[in-house]
Amino acid sequence: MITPFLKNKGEFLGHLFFYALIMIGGQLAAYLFLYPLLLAYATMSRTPHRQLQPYLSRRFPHQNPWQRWWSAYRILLGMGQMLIDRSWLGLKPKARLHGTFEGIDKLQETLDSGRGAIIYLAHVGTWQTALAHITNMACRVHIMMAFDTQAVTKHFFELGRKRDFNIIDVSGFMGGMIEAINALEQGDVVLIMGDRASGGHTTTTTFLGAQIRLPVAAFSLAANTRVPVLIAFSAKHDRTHQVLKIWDVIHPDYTHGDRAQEMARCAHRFSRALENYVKEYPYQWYNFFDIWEQ
Amino acid sequence: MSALKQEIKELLVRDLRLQTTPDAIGDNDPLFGEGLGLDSLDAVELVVQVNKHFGVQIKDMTEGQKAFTSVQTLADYIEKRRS
Repeated sequence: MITPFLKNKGEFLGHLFFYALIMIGGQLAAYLFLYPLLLAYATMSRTPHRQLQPYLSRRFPHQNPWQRWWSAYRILLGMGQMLIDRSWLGLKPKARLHGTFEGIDKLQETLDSGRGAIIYLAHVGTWQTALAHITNMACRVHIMMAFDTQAVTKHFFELGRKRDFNIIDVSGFMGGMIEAINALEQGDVVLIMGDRASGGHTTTTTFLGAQIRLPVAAFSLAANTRVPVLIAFSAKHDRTHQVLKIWDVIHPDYTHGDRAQEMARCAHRFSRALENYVKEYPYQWYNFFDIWEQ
Repeated sequence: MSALKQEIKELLVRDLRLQTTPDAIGDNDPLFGEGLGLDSLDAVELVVQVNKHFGVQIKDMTEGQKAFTSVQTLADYIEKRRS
């Protein structure tokens, strides 16, 4: 049995090994090592297959077990490459992922009018490295996340890059909503992950044909501060090219209607956008748990 | 101060659509949980409405936590910030 101590030590050594590999051979060397490593992991461990089963069975209902195994391997590879990219960008000052931001005009238009905006993300694609597209814009950017030192240090920007955004801690009173309101009222951009319900209000909608619970706090924030919610997902197209795209823009408003209904309508729009995304990029889904159970 | 508390109670009933009357709200009734039963979505509305109606911005969660204890603490907070 592997003790937590050995597991942590193993994880630490694994990270160290990949950092060294990236420093010596760059992104490509780390990628090349990743293929056999993950092939071995996917062959020997049932964990990733079990974790991805809820998604794969709904996204690819007609796949046979071998095809599903291959799909899980492809998702693992994508995830591994994203982690390498993150480290590569943090460790190598000259490292660059080329990218485009489709729909940047929609965000710029909002900011030019003096209003803030919520950018609503999900754990898909190159969501971490794609943040650079937003943080490079001429506006203040805040990210709502649990302020956990370990999680923060794991992010690519902590590996050498200065953090060019503010973190709003969601673990405090009202889940950081007061700070988010103030930021939006100042015309800032607030980034929120929309696909995981971790406490707080949720609503039920469908995703890939089954019911799912999604958080609604962002829609309430937007309705009250009169800002739009821009649903943005990123995807990797090749080794050094990624695309961040605005998939939908929602203007939550329950001034004359029922709040719960409006929240459900917004969550439904988010879910449809996410479905469209996974239709186009089925192997860039990085929720390694059963989100239909949340 | 009592006029301010009455205004807050009216705001709570009107803008947060509470199923009660302003007169039924006690000055020291807890706003969240037991008491008025407000939740985090109501809190978002309350922060925005307090700013809009009273011109008082609640800056962070430490301030917010103290101010949102009851109508009395919210009135005290608004009064203090206005002065």
